[in-house]
Amino acid sequence: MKMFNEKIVTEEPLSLEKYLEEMKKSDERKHITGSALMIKLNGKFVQNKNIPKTILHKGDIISIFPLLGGG
Amino acid sequence: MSGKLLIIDLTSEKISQQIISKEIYKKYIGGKGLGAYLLMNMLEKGTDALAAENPLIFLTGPITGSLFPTSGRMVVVSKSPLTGTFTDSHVGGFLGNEIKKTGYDGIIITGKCHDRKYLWIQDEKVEFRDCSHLWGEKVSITVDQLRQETDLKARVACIGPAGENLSLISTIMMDKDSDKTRAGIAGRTGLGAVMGSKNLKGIVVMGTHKLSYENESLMKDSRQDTVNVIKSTDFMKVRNQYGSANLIGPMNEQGFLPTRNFKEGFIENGEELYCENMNRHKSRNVTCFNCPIVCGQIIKTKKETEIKIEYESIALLGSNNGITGFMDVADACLICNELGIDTMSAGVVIGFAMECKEKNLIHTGPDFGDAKGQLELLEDLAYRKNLGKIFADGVRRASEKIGQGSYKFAIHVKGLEMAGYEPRTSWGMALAYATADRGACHQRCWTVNTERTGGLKMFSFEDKPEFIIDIQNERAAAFSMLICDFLPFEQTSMLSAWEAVMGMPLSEKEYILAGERIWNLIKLFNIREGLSRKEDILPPRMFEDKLKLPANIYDKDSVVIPKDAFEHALDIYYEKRGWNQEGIPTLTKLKELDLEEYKCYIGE
Ligand code: SF4
Repeated sequence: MKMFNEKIVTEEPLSLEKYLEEMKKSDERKHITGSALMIKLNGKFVQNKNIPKTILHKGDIISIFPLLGGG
Repeated sequence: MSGKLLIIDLTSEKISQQIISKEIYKKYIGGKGLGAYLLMNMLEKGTDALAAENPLIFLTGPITGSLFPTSGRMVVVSKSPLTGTFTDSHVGGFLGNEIKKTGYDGIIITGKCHDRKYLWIQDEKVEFRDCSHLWGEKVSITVDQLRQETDLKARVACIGPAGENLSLISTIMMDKDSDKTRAGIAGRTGLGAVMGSKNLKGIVVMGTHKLSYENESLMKDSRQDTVNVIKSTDFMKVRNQYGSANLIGPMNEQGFLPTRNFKEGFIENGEELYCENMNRHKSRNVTCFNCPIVCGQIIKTKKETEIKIEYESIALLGSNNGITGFMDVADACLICNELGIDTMSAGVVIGFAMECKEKNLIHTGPDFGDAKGQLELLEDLAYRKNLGKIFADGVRRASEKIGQGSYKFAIHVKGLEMAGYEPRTSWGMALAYATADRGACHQRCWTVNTERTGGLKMFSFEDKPEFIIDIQNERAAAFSMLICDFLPFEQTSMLSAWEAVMGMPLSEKEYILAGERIWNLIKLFNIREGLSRKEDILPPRMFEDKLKLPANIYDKDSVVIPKDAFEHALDIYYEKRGWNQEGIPTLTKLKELDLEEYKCYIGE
């Protein structure tokens, strides 16, 4: 299973919320479907409640982990 | 959703109904959340979990019985006799759908039968039937006999001898493993004892109502969308082929697999427990109602009986007790399911007994690796015979009886035996176990894969408090919607399914906020019942005994969790949750979550 999806942001400025929405509509979505997602921006964890206020800039590295339930 | 709950009072044999408003559904979603709301309001503070007043609540979710994938799930809610906390035990199989077909969203059972009884529920009709002839019977005989006496197609929830004998690690079993369709288990936190304390052996259910939708085409779209997600998730093929058992190999090789009562994190020569070997004994797959993933792995035992096997049972009845024979684990699971004992708690309690013997604190019982001795002790647990008199109520109570410092290696949190992931390897699980609402449960937040694939740093608490809060909130919402833990889905499609059934929208923000509200309401319940920061802790072993790590994987040979780092992470967790340093939600947080009506429990 692909657990990890790392992307370099090419447009700016762009809200993280919008970025995720676009990603879910694209072919990339198969890498990010889980019961929940964990997002890291430039290696730093972004808490759920901070997603709406997070703005991406060109060159930022966004990592997305889909989270499936455990054993 | 009918919005109706069936209330059955066993003492008076009276039946009534409770109507749940749409506002309450929007606030608490259903399932776990609705259960928390009901329990908080029905149960007097400090009531004994085995008293007649403690309700046993069987709830479906808003989308249970619908076209949405994995919609067969249900939950049993009560106050746990094992932990003294709120508990919600989630169940697959087919009973959830059958309850929905009766026209009710759930069943609340209160009181206590004067004599041994079972309930026969057909739509609105409820019969109280004598069950003295089945008292003492094992699960599969009980299921067969109850169907003979009612309807061969009926769905059955029942207890085995362990529940009758009020073992605090007993289960409620839904149907049986040798059925063509998948059975379910309300496994954790001793709910079998709650049912046993009510003199209730079984509940037989059959419904004829068809679920109606407010918007059928929206439901069909959300179903299709989710089926597409399942199909495009490669991992679902692994899930289908091996179930949760796929994890045994990687967990062992990376040092996450509990071994010999959590003394070690991997077992040498453990390959026989791996999923590839399990498949040599597999007879078929089974699925829950309306689930295309079909993850249930049915094994044929040496005696030609059938049993469903999961990761947790292999870890805790296998490596945790030094047992590496796959069929030995299958035999142990079979006994557990027939006697109605939780395989997870039983595995940990037997590991604890083995270590007590190794340390000469007890002088009988099995040693590590003794598969036959494990089977004998399982029987003793269910019947409270021999060592069962000490161990039938879990490791916390057993260590209190044995004394001599045995609490240091009694592996539990809040009285619930730990799930099958070693917290010294996964520090995320350390914090997740300590803060989980019902004790050392892995389902409230499972950090293992995120840590081992580099999403979260290993052997560190960095980012973990925030991560765990997010997942706990999301899982509280998902367990209220009642979808399966294993389902890959997009929230928007699942919320469309809600709208298709409920006839009102629920935004992603409202959904996650409801999850946080539910988590906080349960925290208030647990505070009301006397729990505090000192229960948000791990067993001393995790802070004191070094865990040896497998060679050549990590940059260290052994690991222990530094207590001060753990306490600091807990401080951050509380702060980010909007709780004070005692782990009590603040008034501001309650106002934010529209829970102000419960402020008396925080001393306001
Ligand atoms: S994924 Fe497995 S446990 Fe979940 S609903 Fe499907 S068959 Fe049941």
